[in-house]
Amino acid sequence: MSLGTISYEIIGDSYEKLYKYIMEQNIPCKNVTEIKGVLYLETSVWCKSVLEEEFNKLSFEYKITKKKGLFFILKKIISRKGLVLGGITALIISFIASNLMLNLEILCEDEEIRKDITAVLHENGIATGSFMPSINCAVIERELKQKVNGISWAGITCDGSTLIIDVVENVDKPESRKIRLPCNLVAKYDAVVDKIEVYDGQLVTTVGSGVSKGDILVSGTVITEKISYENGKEIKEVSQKYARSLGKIYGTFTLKQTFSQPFEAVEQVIDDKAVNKSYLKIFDADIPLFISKEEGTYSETSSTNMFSIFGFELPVGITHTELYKISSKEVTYTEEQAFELAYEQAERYENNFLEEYEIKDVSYSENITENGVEVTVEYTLYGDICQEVEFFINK
Amino acid sequence: MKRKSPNIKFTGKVKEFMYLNSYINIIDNKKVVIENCKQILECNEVMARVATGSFQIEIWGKGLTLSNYCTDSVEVTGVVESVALTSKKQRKRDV
Repeated sequence: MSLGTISYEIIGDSYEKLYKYIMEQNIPCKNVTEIKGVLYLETSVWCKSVLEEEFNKLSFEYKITKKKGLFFILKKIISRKGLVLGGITALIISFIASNLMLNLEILCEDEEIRKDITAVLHENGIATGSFMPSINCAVIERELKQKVNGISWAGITCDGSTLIIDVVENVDKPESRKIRLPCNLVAKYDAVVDKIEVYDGQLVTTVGSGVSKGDILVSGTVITEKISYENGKEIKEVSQKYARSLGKIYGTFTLKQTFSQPFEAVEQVIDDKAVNKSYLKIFDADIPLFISKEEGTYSETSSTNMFSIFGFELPVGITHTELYKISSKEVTYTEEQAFELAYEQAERYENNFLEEYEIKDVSYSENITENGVEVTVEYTLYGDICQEVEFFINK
Repeated sequence: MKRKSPNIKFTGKVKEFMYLNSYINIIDNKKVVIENCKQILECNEVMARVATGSFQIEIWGKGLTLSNYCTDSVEVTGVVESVALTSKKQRKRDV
């Protein structure tokens, strides 16, 4: 009854049938009394329709004299739309403020690291508007440590609607005392020596000679002979000293590289159509102005327009984000296209790895296999062919 | 002198055993609670009349009101002056 009670004033000939009905149907009634032929009773709001039906059946005249209880208060409140709207808004705001991520704070000044962290978070579906209790901090921390270069530790804290990511950047290894060991200059390729520039060490090859990979070209062990004459006798003094070989040995050599391109490959395609999402920006918080969450991988660009009054910028604005869907597509290439891609690979290889050499000659040979094509490139290169290899001195 | 114990019949025993008797609680002169009530017959300011299995109970007083919150029981509230019980048999005989 506490939810709502209704008081009735009923006028009829005899109330015995009504009493009987009340007892049979177990209708809870309160304060039942007859005064001067008029029956007064109170009943629960839930029994209203049943009881009124019975009144009509018994041809009783009745009127409701009083309504009280929570049910009627709520009914009154519901009829006041502003109040309801305010209440719902307050509820939504408190829900958003307590459960949704509105702000991401990365405690790191390095812009590259910040970008990488944001990318890892996006990969894991963490963006503004994410449901905070569903964020598994331990897993994300582990991924950040594994995937983001330049950090040695990552910690995640959920503070209200803010996700704080604290990172410790890699501390450079303290420079240890370098012992400059003596070294040889050793051939990196099988080549023909064309030009020699030696600044230190003992040259053990000549221009025009062929060398194999691993041959010592300039030795760090320098043997000197000192010849002197005493009483017409030749005295030979052989001494050995060690040096850190310095120099450049230029040579011509050939390098063979095979580039293959399968006919069927998976390609990532960025959709032209953008999905627009807007956020209400209040200070640092971004409140999503949408309900649906996009699934999949997206490339995003965003811009923020802050509101201003008489030139004074307010801390409130709208952030527009454009999401372009990245989808994987299986592509089948023709022979011609596959060769084109293989040649592109070769070009990239030349730009990345053969920049320090002069390409004297290039010969291509093409081959078609069952699954794709292969392009074998034979480069004739000219450049420095030696590298430093340290050695230990037996004391 | 030997006191005669009330003659309780078999049906009376069964009723007692099955909790079919009506239980009447009178709280001061403010409230009368009747359990195992079958029917409300009348209820006005001065008199409330209800029927139980074996009796008709008349409650006399002032400003009486009746409430039934749960199955087969009623509560009469007001200034209770008297409670009268008339067995159904007696009533039939009177009629």
